[in-house]
Amino acid sequence: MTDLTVLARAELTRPDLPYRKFAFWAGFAMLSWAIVAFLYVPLGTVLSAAFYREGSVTTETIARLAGARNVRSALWNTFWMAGATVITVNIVGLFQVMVLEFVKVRGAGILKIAYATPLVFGSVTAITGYNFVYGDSGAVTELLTRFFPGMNRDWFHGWVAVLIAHSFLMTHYHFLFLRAAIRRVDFATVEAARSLGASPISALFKVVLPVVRPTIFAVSLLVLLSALTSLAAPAILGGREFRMLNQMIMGLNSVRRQDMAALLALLLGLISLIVFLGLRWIERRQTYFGGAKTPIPMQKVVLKNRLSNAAVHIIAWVLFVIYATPVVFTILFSFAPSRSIATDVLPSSLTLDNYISVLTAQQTLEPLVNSTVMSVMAIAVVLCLALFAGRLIAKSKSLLTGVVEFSLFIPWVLPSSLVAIGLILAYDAPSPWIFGNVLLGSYAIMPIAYGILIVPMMVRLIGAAMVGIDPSLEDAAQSLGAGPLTRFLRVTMPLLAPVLILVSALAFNDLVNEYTVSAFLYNPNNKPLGVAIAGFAVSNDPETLAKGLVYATLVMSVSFVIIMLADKLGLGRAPISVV
Amino acid sequence: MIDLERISVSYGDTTVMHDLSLDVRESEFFTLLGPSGCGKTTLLRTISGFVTPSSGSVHISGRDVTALAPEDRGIGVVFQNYALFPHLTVFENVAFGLRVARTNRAEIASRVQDALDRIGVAEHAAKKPAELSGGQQQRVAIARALILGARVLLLDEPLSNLDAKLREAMRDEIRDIQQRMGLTAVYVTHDQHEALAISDRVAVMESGAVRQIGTPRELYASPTSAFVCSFIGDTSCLPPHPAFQPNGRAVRAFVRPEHVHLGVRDGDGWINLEPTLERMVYQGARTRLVLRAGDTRLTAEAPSDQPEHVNGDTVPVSIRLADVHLYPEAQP
Ligand SMILES: Nc1ncnc2c1ncn2[C@@H]1O[C@H](COP(=O)(O)OP(=O)(O)OP(=O)(O)O)[C@@H](O)[C@H]1O
Ligand SMILES: [Mg+2]
Repeated sequence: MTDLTVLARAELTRPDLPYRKFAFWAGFAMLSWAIVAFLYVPLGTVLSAAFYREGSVTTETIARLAGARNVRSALWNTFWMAGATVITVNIVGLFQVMVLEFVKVRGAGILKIAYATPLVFGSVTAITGYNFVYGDSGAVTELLTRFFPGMNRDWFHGWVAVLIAHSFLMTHYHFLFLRAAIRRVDFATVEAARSLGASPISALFKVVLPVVRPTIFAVSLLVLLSALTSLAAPAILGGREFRMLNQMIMGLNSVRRQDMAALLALLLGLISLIVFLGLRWIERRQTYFGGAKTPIPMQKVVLKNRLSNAAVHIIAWVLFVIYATPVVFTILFSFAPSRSIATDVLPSSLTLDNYISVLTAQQTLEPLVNSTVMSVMAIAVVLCLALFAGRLIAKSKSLLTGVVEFSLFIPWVLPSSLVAIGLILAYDAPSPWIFGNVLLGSYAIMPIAYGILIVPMMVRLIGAAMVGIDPSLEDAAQSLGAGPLTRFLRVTMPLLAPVLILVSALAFNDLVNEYTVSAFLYNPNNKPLGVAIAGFAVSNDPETLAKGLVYATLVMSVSFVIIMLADKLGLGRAPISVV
Repeated sequence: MIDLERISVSYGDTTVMHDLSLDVRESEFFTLLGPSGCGKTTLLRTISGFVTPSSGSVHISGRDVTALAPEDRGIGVVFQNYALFPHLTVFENVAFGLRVARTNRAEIASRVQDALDRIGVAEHAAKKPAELSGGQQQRVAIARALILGARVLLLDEPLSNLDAKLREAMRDEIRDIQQRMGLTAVYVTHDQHEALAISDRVAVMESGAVRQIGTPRELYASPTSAFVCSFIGDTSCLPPHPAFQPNGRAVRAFVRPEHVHLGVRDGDGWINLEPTLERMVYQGARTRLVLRAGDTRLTAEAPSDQPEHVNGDTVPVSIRLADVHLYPEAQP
């Protein structure tokens, strides 16, 4: 190439410089607007609803709340249930991890599949399944009454049911994070302990678990957070006598006592914030695993003591039954004729009728379509924002980008109910922030809320992937004449593509399983899957129940495919951090 | 060809390069040599345009390119880790620049094929970079950098990822390509052997400044500073001696191992020392003798067939005064 063509190329690229500048500032303006309008304005509105009345600060709402007996009891229920859940989940979760990673147990491969089910069978879907299997007309209850004719058919009810559901459904943090941590423990330390006379089990308790204690703490805090903000479990299983905080917030909101709802949501937000800060603190203090140059990978030990070996096997397989039963029965009965549902222990025959009736009737198809469309809308918009923000954060370190980064992580700490209350209070009347529109009751309110929920996860993962791309690749493209847009489209995007697909899939999984925000914000135009499933779950009509089972099975299948995809693409093998 | 004039570079508040001027001639193989962190990469990236100097100017072929973006400079760049696009095939990697320039398909096909043929990786055209060996990746990186017809090629430690044998072969290959195409090459390395073997001229850098520019021979034979003298080739520091301290001024004296001769020599212009032997390092044809004279250590080199010495022996050596490099003590 002659110098002349170099010059010509230089001249040709000149004119689009102002255009690049314009595109950047347009993107930045959109991002800032979204942050202010959908994050800070709703938060500010919640604060003022809780503490301001007629232009002055008031503590009246606090007093009123403190005086309400049902609020006090919901608070008390929430706290003790969260505490109890942390204990029971740790017992179940630690045992699972021991069986999967530390002790040789027969059939560990099958056990692992059962223990992994909370990853795909969670939230409202799982609660529906539990209610269906253990409820008063459930298959297990049916079976039990054949052995114990005098028993109370309605045993799966109230706090017992909520605690049982929590205990077995919230173990997925243990499954993901604690297992990963234990695998990084140097097995030589176990052998050292045993050479000093410790039995395998005592080596586990004296050496392995203390090493991973920070992870156990962190996982416990995540469980605490989930239990505190639990909604589907108490709503479906708790009944009248056992209500938790999120239900209270929803109830107060529906009777237009929004000052009180706002205050309770803030309280929940404050607790979440404290828990979150605790997590950060743990993560920063987390010690690195050993100093050994060549750590020996964790190995499974054989329990020589027959008694303890038998005990471990029995408990492991009982857990298997507990985990597998709701999943298997939910899937099985989704193929059962409706007369068989709620009467038989096993389906009398298998048929596709339920699926055909769900997928062909407008009314039952709608929640499926709604959830899909709204999730895709939210993901598409957040994807663009995350790409823009990720690039901004990766390329420049200024106060402004710091503020953007911080803002986009805020929703991580916010309980879903606080996000929902914020949107409701800020946009229940025409607002200049959204150009004079009203969100409450509109179709858009759900996709917007969904977007807020997935922003932190998507920005974090996409941002990390962007930082991971070798900067000299872009330099190389630039030295070959590629401008910023070409570089982005031809180099960065193709390299990011797997991550983008993966992150979008994970977000989709979260959103089709979403219940809390949906329950607050949905209206007849955009009723999502989670709400529809919960509605069917409490029905006594076998036809309706069948539809719920079909939904649940469909959602489970989607989750299953997405989780497998994530595992294939290696997200499971990446060093996992809890926060 | 490449004129750097009074270049200063700062990263944030720290100035890593101050008032550096340099002139690379047409079709020259020019090497930037210096210890880690001395600013070689910074200087190279100033030429390619990835670093914007806080003051000073860059001229290429007489044209001021200081304000020009890297994509507009038409310079070929080979990166230390090659920076091959992992999602593109070898063919597409090499074709990248042509695609960006919207060259027509037929021309791309023929030019890329041509380039791949020339560097001997034509049969790997459909592979992804990860499937190539280090040497092949290196060749692809060079082909990609040159596909647009760049007359200037910048290489930042291009051999550091290869093993020793391949390094030498690739070194000669790079030199060969540069000669054949008459390119102006600026080459960064911290390996002095590499620099001496490949370059027309070398700039020795230290903490953001050029200490000396010259041909490899000049740098080795007459280093102008203690730093260059000890950085290029092997040197020993000599103990103080009246012969090179006529007026008692403190100086630092260096000598190359091949100029330390075994045996006593009388006469003008020679000095004699009587160090003890600390250890012998057999290197095949020649043997190195590590000697100790007072508290300085001296290295001598001798053919391996010379009589054996035992550690602790006194081994008289002589050095020609003309071979001693002297620098004032104050000079760094
Ligand atoms: N992006 C940057 N930000 C801040 N300081 C930098 C940056 N890049 C380089 N430096 C500093 O500038 C100085 C010169 O760095 P440079 O990378 O040019 O050295 P180098 O000679 O190429 O070293 P090496 O042989 O290790 O590659 C170093 O002190 C380095 O710490
Ligand atoms: Mg460097």
